[in-house]
Amino acid sequence: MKSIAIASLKGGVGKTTTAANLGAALARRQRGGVLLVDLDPRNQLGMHVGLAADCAGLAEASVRGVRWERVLQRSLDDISCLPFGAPRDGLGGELDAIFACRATLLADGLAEPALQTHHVAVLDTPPWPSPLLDQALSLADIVIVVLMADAASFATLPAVRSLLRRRAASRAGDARAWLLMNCVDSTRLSRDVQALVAAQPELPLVEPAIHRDTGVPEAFALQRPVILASPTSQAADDFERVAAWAIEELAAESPARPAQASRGEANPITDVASAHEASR
Amino acid sequence: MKWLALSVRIVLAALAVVFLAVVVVTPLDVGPQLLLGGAAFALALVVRNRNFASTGPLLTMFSIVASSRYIWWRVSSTIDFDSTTDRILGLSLLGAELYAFAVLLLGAFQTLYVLQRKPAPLPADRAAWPTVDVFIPTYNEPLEVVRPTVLAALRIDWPADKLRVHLLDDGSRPAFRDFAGSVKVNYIIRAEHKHAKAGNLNHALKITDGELIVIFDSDHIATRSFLQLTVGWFLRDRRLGMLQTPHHFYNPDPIERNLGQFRRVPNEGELFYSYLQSGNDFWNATFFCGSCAIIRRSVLEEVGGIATDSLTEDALTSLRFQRLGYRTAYLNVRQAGGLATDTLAAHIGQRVRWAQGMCQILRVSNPLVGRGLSIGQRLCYLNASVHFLYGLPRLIFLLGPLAYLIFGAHICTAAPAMLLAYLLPHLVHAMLVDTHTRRRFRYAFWNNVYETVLAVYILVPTLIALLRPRAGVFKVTDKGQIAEGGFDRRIARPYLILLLFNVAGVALALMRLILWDYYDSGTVLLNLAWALFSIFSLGAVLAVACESRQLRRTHRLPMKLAAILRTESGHAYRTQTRDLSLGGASLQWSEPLPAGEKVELALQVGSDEHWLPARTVGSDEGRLRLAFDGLSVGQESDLVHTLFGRPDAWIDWEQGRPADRPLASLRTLTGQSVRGMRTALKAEPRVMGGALAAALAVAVCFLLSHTGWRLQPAFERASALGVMVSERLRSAADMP
Repeated sequence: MKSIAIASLKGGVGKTTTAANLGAALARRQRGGVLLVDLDPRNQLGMHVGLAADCAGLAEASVRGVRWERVLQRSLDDISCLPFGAPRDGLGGELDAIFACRATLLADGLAEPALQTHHVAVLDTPPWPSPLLDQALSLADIVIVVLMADAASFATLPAVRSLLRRRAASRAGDARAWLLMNCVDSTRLSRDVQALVAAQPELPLVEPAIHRDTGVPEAFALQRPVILASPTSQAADDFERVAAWAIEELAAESPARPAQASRGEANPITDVASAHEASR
Repeated sequence: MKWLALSVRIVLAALAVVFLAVVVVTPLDVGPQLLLGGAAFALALVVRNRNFASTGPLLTMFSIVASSRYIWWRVSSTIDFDSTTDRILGLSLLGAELYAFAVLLLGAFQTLYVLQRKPAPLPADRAAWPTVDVFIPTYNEPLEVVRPTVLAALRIDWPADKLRVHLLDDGSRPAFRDFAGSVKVNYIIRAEHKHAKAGNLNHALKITDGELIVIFDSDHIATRSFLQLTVGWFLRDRRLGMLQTPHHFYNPDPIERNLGQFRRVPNEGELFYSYLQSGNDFWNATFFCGSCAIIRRSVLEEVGGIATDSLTEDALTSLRFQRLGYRTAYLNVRQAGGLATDTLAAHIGQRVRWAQGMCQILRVSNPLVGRGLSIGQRLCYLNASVHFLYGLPRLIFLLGPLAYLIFGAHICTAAPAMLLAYLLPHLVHAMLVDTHTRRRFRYAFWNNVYETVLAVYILVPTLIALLRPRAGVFKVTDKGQIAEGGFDRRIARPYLILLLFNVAGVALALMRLILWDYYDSGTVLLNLAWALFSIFSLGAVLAVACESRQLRRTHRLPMKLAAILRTESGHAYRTQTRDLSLGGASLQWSEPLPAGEKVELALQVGSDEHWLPARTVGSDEGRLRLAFDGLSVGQESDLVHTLFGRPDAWIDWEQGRPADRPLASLRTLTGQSVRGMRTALKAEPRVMGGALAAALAVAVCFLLSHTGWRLQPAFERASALGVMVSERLRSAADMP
């Protein structure tokens, strides 16, 4: 199973929204093969795909020593999701300790057989600083850092860079990371920030950006991903195209990790990507 | 060896010429002549269907031989007139035919080899790229026509420090000054307004200093690649003085619009810009057409600036370049789009000016005489000039059949069968050449329409220009008007009169056929067919004169672009444009959206996204129509760039056009011709009816007095017919 981590260093930029909608778009391209993993204690990822807010989740499972697959849920639209879980009595203090001490918690959890049947995991990461964020970053094949096209987001770029440098140092293989602009629109500010971000050399931009679109919050209100709630919207098209891009990137041979290619089993991601390539 | 091969070739060529000359001058009787014509036609068909490299020249040779043979026969055996009337009419017709023959020969020479010049690449080192002044002369065109031209010129890909755009406003209008200021282009006006456009350009020439000068008429919107595709030749060829590119029009001209054939048939200009200019280029005789061209400043200064002693100052200027030994070039890649004239009156006015100017050149700087020109250049320029003298010959052809049908004059003393045997090869081979070499640029029978429309109006001005070359007045062609719609009586009237005469001719032909000249039915039939063809041509002109209403101020271009529509509520929708204009767009659309709502439209071009404010106008059948509303200058520039700026904006313009099929053309034009006559009848019922009756009455009276002595046999024949019919009826009644 490959994984994509969605991160941000500033709240309110649409990180969770992006994780849910990108996950849904990926799921449509590989039915049943995508797992949404909510590592953010705010526990909102499930809500985006129509799951109840008060369910048990991977936090409680970790504390109680239960397997994660026991809390795996499926949305009405047939998307697999591991919620973080609602806050419950008696969980509080133990969580931090468990996440901090068990460095392979995430990797072990995702290695469970029922979860490994998925082809891609989309990890909605918690705000920095967090041991779970570090684990997600070092585990993920691809990291997408979500930015809004505004000054506050732009100001976090140096911090994003240093976070990703630390991640690169903690990983054996390559450390591919991209920036994704969210809520871009026709205003001068939005275009200028986009141009500035595109001009900085270190971090590449995901093409296309996600456009500002009332369809997205409306979809959240309906608790469905935007590609299903409002399929003709621009945001739906953007997420579809980012999903197509992600599939290609995941399938791309990463030179630093030749082991992946030699596993011998049919790789559905590669297949989809090559089919996509061929269809051009 | 080489010498041997060359001399063998020369001997063979000489033999061929002698042989063909013998073919041309040998007189034959009807039978052998028909046989010869048939054999030549069959051979030509084989050559055409094989379609090898020299098919064009071979077919041209067939055509020239057939036409020469016809003309030789006409001159040598058909001018033996009985009366002065016959002589005058007959010699007029012969003159018209000789003119047509001369133009045919010149045209064949001009297109002997059609050069397909390719763009020359620019050096990688930008320091070597020359500085360029872009001149956009304007006088009375509306600002909305000029704006996109200026905005597009500013976005031509060229080093910013080497590109200067100048707006040359001879109207000295404050709105233009403000606009120029807002987009930071150089605004040039002058105190006095001598010599119109030429004077305007010459004035700007004095106060600028770029190495190259690009001239765009105020409606010619350049693509971004204009300079990068064209300037290379100026670096490669230091003696190059001028390079011309095609004039392309993205809206229908009045003929295309009024006949409903926009983008289905090559328009009037296409033959010249897609074919003839490339032919000129081979002879180093490309001439300057006033716009979409690049000129080397040093050469222009050497000839004293743009010429001011012709209405077509452009062609005369390039002729002066040639006389000094500078080269000119033609690059047949459409790199700008412009507006065709909107009304038929303006269309005619513009062509009349060209015709007048080209005829002035015959007097002011006759290409046949004077220093510095090669024989090829002389003949190409000559053709460009004398080509515009077709006014009188056309009229003679239109009225020709009436000489016999009304006046009973025998203007060609030959048996009808003999005439056909000589005439048909001449016509058929000429058509064969046209449908082979020009089939993509001018469809069969359309030349007839284009020239007939102008014939009446071109006649007097060209003659005046020949007689008094300094008399002409420059008239600016109106662009950016809206055709009001309706029948243009003023323009149609002369053609209506010609039509009435031909209708009278047809009526007389029928009477002659039955009553008077039944013993000479061949001649009558020939003239009848000729008159019918004249009616066909004149009807088509009347159809052109029915101006169909033009509803839009801006012209929409079909264009599929990814687009985003954002409503006031903040919803953004993925969509695609169906067509786009400077005023609005129509989108693929299925959601309900009320009219009059404020929206934003983003056009996605590559990774660029151009956002434009707009209002919804209405929606139907899966499409939503928008009107742009309050564009900033920057947004307007983006829109112009998207619509007109792409290097390939006009490259495949003719794609999807049905191929030339002469019979289909004939059918289309016949339909249009009938429609034209019907409209004219409706528009001027009294004039038409009265004139028709009068013409018929006059013709009948004339005939009665002229051929009175033949009435006797006619009455006898009629009564014999009556007797025969009644006997038939009686015997039929007796049968059962």
